[in-house]
Amino acid sequence: MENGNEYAPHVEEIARVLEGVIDIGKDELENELRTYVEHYKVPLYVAKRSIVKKYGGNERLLGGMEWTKLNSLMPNTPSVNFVARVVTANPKEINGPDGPKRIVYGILGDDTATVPFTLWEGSFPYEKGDVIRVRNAYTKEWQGQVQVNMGARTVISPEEPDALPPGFTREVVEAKASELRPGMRNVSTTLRIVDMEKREVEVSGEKKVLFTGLAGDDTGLVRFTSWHDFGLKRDGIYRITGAYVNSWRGVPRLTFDEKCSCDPVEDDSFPSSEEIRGGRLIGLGELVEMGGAVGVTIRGVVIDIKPGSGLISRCPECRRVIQKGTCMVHGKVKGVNDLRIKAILDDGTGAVTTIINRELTERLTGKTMREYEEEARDAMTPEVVRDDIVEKLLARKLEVRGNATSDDFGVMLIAEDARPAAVDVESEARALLQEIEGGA
Amino acid sequence: MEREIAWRVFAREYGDSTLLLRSGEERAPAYLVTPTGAKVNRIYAVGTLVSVENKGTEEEPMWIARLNDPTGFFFIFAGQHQRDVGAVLSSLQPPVFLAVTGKVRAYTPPDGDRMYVSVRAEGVHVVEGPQYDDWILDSARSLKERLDAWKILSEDPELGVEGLASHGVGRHIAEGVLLAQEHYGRPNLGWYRDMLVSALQTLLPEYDGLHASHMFPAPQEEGGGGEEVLSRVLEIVRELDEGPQGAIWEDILDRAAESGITPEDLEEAVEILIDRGELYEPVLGRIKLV
Ligand SMILES: [Zn+2]
Repeated sequence: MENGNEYAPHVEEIARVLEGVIDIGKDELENELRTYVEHYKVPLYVAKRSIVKKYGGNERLLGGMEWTKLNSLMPNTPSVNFVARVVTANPKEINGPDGPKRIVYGILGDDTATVPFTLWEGSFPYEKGDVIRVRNAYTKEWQGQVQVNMGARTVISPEEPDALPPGFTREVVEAKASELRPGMRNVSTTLRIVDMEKREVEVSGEKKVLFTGLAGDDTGLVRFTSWHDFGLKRDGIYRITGAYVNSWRGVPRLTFDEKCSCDPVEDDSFPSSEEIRGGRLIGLGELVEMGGAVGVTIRGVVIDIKPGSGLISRCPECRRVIQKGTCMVHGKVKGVNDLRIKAILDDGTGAVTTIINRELTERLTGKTMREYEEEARDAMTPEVVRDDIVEKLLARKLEVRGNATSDDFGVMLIAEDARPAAVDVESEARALLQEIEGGA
Repeated sequence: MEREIAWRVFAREYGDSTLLLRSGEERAPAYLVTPTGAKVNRIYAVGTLVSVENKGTEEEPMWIARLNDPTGFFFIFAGQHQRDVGAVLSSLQPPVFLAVTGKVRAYTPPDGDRMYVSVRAEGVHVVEGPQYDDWILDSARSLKERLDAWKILSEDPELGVEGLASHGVGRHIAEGVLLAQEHYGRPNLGWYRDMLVSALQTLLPEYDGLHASHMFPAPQEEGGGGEEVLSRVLEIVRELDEGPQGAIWEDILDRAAESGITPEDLEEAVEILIDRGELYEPVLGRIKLV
């Protein structure tokens, strides 16, 4: 981020408030402020207050915010300053208390939002597309929406067109099967056809042939409909571009027609149809409601690691977990060490207990059971093993495949595979934004 | 007994909640119902720890930590019964990314009418940026799911849990949304949508922390379905706005009457839409879309 000296006025302000409280260099303050804002994404005004507070200063001595983005305008604010692009501007004659009066109304926008505005005093020599800097405007609220008003005290000045970044553009969206969301347009994706049928339908009196089915990749399955005969074959892999996603009963459906391209792809590393089917990703709320399932993949955050995780001792006869060298069935036995994790995975819609075996635990933690045994011996307690597992896995999102069953304590999933979930935050955020803003 | 779900809810919405459901029974879980209908007993929150203070004494500590997310603050509480958590909190030097699991905690001062909502921490764990981003994404998805349920409910306000479920709304969401509707009325969906959008924008590389602000206007109740009338009027004008002169006022009146909109409401709606810059009057008696 190229912010140059833009931090300087804020650093000056913090330094002024902290003067006489603590002796601290401006470089240090700037580093700290940057860390808060850029790394921790804390709002600037919170960051400034937190730093002042931390050093024992009075955060009330800090001034307010200066330039505001339109999405953060609050109603009924007596003075606001912002930079915006004119979206529309229309003059209008109204009847004021002193006779007819010319006002201008319209819409202003920046890269975060658009807001309606009314100019009550003065001239407005700007038109659609112009970028303006507005000082000392005020806001009102109408039907829950913020309205900008410009009166006699308001100062408007022209800005260079590039003073504002362009709004979010609808670019080509590259998405995996599990990332496809209703409302997405211009989607590019590579999928294997897992299942397909040919259907004939009548659209406005005209017979049409379409192909529907299931397609997928390493992230899961998606329904598709093709309105054109691309010569799709079951088990074939295709590169599809220009498609869009609609939905039926909330289930996303990738849809493409003759305006899109759909070309066969050779890729030996692409998961097979069987693998794709086995990897059906299911929400935990759905899984809990179903009570159990075979060969499902779930994703959830490890929100708790239960006692009984780490190094445990098993009966050599029956594999039951034993305490103090005694099996509840076989009595005194010589226990065999094992390594496992009992974790609560939660995705915000449901929670399941997940049992992760030795092999998978070793892969997730990067340590072998032998290494853990040594650490436990050195520390003279197996607790260190559980501590290490907590340190490495708590609050992490895992993707686990396995079989789920339920009992009185809820759903339990025995893991056949477990790995850190790969989340492409940026593309998922974009997909979600597009769905929200484009799916009206 | 099923384990309580750890809800992902943005701080601002959590703090705006005023509905606490507590059954009379001892040890029965309490639920906080948020304005958009998350029915929360357990919460999972990730954010930037910006302050930790002991508001109690050395012997009876009461740690209060403030956790910032893209919409506001969570107040994290650890008292005598959460000494382990308190010990971790007291050892931390803000700012750090922190993940918190905890239970709903609500407090209304004896003479106050406002409810203060915080999180009684069960566990805290220092995390890194990617986990914070991932939490924002999950919280956004969760909020969007509830907003989608409201959209369905606005088309048919009589729908119950079963009705919503038949439209694909998960039961755990449907129940909370209906409870929220009863207590809060219809939330300002546009406002929560904007909150959702700006939270998601913090995840994009073009996000500029220095120039962005995370402050939001307070949500306002929507009066008498005003937004629905406005959007219906816009729709009518769009249908009738054909020639260069725009739609004829009398035609708009007729169509509005068919939709059950009174002439008074229509005039007010058109005025608002003109103020908002969505409609204008090219000549007297004609209305056009901008
Ligand atoms: Zn045994």
